[in-house]
Amino acid sequence: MELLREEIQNEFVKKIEELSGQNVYACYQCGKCSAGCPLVGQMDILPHTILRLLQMGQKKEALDSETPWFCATCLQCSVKCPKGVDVAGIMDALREFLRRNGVEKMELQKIADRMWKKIPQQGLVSGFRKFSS
Amino acid sequence: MHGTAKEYDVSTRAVCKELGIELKEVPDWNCCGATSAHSLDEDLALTLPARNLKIIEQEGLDVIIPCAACFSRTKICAHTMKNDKDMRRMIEEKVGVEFKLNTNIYHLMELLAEKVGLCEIKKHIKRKLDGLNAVCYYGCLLVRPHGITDLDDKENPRFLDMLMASIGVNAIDWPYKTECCGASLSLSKGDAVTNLVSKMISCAEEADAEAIVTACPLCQANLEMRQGKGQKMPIFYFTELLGLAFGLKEVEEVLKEHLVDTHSVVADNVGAASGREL
Repeated sequence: MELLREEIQNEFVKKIEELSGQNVYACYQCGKCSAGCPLVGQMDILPHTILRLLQMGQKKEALDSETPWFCATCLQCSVKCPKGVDVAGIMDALREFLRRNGVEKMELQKIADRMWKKIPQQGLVSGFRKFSS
Repeated sequence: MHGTAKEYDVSTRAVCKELGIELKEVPDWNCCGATSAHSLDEDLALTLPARNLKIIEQEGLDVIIPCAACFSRTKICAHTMKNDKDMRRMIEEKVGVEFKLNTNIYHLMELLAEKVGLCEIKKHIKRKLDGLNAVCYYGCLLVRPHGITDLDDKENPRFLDMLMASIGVNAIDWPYKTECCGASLSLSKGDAVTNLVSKMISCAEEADAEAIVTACPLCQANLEMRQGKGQKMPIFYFTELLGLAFGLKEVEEVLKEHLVDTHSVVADNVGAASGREL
């Protein structure tokens, strides 16, 4: 079967490329990003597989994944990539895309009262970033 | 630094004073957005540190940043303005000033190891911390993205190890130097982070370390808070240990603020009580 980039690159992928400033087709699936990722054990889809889904224009699978929400943006993947793809930047773009479309992931009411005073402000801000808009 | 990282604030000021570095807090500074802003909006993530840079340029001073995330974001902001004319115009419009971009941006660790120098530091030592075995933890944002922060080696940084060795600490090599501690997920995915941190603490224990030394307020809080069951590894800021070696009283005082008891390690090795004078 012949796959042409012009045919599978949809508007969604173009938007992710625009938001991240990255070329998802540069990835040749070596898997170094997934090998280096400290949070890979928690992810439902490996980082390099997310890249593959984007290459194939699979919007639903990429957006439904928990993976971008587990990314801590430690940049390990971006440093490791032999093709210079900023994988963490692409995870940012996925979160940005979801957020712009109003997806809510966190229920603030579920945080226990005693936790509010204990958590550093930065921790709270980061919680909002990961899960709400 | 005014809140949960008070120990870092106090020890940084005390150590800088001892070394003759005059500090002036950036007036009316704002949060740089850290890892949160760039997930929301790239423009916002660049504009927030730009506002701080504007104030710093107006002050006409160089800037020392003790936090790894603030350092990384501010460097990225300056780097983007230098290399991307359109972004620079956008930022300048929003912040309302034309940047000269002549400010030197240092991380505190870099400044002490490179500009002040180990020889100068050694001159101020009152008591060496000879008995202390520790591993140095740099975390993710000090050395990454490497082309931009331009700090030390990206896979095996040595600045902290050198600083610690200069005051007599036995800085042990270990594999998790630049691993991420997951601090930005500490609230939302606590279990995942406990998992990461307990792995790191176990590794430090295996390396015969009694403590971990960091240069980032978020790493310090996270490594203390998210240790696994039965783990009680003290996590020090590098400035605290420098302060102890310099014999600074205010640093000894502030050690009480730690969540994990530091007393046993300090009393056994630093000789604060026994006074192992040079």
